[in-house]
Amino acid sequence: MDINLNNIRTNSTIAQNAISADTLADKTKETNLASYDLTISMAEAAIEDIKAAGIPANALRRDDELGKLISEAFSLPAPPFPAVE
Amino acid sequence: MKTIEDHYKTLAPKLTNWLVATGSSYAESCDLVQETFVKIWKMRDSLQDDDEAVSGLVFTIARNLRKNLARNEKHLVLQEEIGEDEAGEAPNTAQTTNDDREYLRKKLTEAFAKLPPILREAYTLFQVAEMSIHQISAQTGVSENLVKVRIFRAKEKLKELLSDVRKDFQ
Repeated sequence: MDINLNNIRTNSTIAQNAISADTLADKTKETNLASYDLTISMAEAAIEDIKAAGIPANALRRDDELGKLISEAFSLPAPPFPAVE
Repeated sequence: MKTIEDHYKTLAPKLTNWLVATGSSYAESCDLVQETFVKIWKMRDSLQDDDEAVSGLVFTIARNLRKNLARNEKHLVLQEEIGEDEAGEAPNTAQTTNDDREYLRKKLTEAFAKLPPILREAYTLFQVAEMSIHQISAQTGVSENLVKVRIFRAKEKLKELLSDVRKDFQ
């Protein structure tokens, strides 16, 4: 039987190229996903910033009406320091 | 460097009140606070000289001890149902001399329980445990801005939930 070495070489090259293409596609996918994750987390952070910026300046005070009620209600004494040796 | 007693003076009242605000009885909270500080005392040689780090550690230990306690108590449900003798209520002084405060505490605890857990955590750490935004961010693992948003949302929700109570106390 005659074996055409040229065909084998050609097929091998095609197979190698196919593998390289797959690897490249995977790498691209990974890079894209990483970049997508990064974009999402940056977008989320930006949304948090915008939301935080929208909070009125006095909204994070502890001594407003609600805060005073809570401080009054939760002013229980702590237990004594535990006896330790 | 601060002693363990110094940390206790600052943190124990905040921790006690935070544990009560987030669902533990007063008696249970006192036990948890003491147990937490026994652990802290045992770790005294490796503690950082950093108030925020110690505060974070104290709250983390207390939280874990409470989780363990809840797990163990699942096996003791029957006992609990039989022995409802108010053993977990706040001290008599508060009960007898200030019923209003007791009532208010009950209403607030109920309202906190109705908040989504992430809002409840951020708000009670801020208002009851008096942690800074920076500390809450470190404790909960979310950004400072998100902590602010959660506190703000919790406050808005609490105002709705407590509208009747707030009128009573005006």
